[in-house]
Amino acid sequence: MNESEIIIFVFVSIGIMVALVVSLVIFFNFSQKKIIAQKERNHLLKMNFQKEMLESTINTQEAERSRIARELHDDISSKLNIINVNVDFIKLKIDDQGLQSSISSISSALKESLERSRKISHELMPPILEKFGLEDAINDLMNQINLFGVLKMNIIGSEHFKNIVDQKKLHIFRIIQELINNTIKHAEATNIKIEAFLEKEILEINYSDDGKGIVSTKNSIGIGTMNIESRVQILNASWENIPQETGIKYKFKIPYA
Amino acid sequence: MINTYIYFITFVTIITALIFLIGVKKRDTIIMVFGSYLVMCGCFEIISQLTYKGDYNIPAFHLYNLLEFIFLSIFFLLVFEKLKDWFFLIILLSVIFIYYIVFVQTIFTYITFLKNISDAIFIFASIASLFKFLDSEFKKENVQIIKYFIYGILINFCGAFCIYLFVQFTLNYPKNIIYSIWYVNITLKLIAQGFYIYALLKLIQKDRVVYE
Repeated sequence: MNESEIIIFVFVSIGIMVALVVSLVIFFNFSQKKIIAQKERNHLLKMNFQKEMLESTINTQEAERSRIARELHDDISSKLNIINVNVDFIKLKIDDQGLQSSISSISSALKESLERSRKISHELMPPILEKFGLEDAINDLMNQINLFGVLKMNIIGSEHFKNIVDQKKLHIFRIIQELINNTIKHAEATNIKIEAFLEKEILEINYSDDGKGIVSTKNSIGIGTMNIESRVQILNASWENIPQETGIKYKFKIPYA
Repeated sequence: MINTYIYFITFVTIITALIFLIGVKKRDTIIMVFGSYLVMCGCFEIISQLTYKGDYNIPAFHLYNLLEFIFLSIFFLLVFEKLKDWFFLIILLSVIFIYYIVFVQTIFTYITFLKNISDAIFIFASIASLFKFLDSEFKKENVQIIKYFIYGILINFCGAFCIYLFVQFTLNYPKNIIYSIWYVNITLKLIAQGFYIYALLKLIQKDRVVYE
């Protein structure tokens, strides 16, 4: 090969190599984007499937709770009531003092059982939530807490809970119930504050207490927190822990429609 | 004109090294190894400018090739997660490289047979790395940054491979022909530096986002 042929050969080979590299880079970028998009689609499908599974598990759980609450209220409680009336009737008919005191203790045990079954039934599925809605159920929860004076609960904007229906009201109620339980069990707080307001079809709920706060690590996520997380997912909502000097504050953003 | 172009690539190479030294925080080993390679390139640009006496600086060129081979071999072995298994090969090839340069040819001879081999190895390693990155199971950190380094290596070494393959012939050609080849080489080097700078800036931006 002469001088000019070698030069042409050098340039042509550089050109071919560069063209190959450019094609390879384009191919790689294109394929990578395609793979990433496919991975995202698979991830989304997996997430949706998990969400559906979670939703169905929680709904089944709630249906079961509701059924047990109804059974307790309608069947066991009413039977206990009848027994109690009969026991009171027998007590009136008997003159023997010893026997009367035994029947009185049976009657008080029955009354205690009745009260207990009513309480369990209400805890499983508050009738007020089903009959009167979320606003009244939360106000009822507040009244129960304020009754003893140890812990004071305050709700601002409870009217925004009024129009929430179906499963959504149950999930919101359970979340608030779980947070209150946590405050009572762990926080040593004296005040609970719930603020609700509506902004652009998003219901924002702020829950705070003035307790000792939570020292949370990755391993300390309990069943209660997981339960809240699951319900937040079902509601297509988001929640965050807002750091406080004292106590805790959680902010929930729930689609209203 | 060629001198201005050489000064420009020297300037860009030093800037790339400085961006790494000043801007990039301590990262995983792959990034640090490649960053060290960029710093080494920057240092050699300064050395070659200082020692340039109107001719090729052959001993510096051989030393540069050896260091380039070591840094990039470590880089690719880290990418393939095979550094521990194959580290001996880097040492072995480096010893052969030194032996060949010093005893078989001399350090003042411009024989680039070893450079051609190392360039070919890095071209294949780059292509293999890119295909490895396509594997959805491959989840190495900073893949999106490393791929720009590899684009740069590919562009740079593909040009260099062709040029050095014929350098025994072209070295004796008239200056204007040699310059035209070096223009192409420097242009490809500039494109490669562009990829390196882009990757480093992405890395710095990522650090800033994490920090914020």
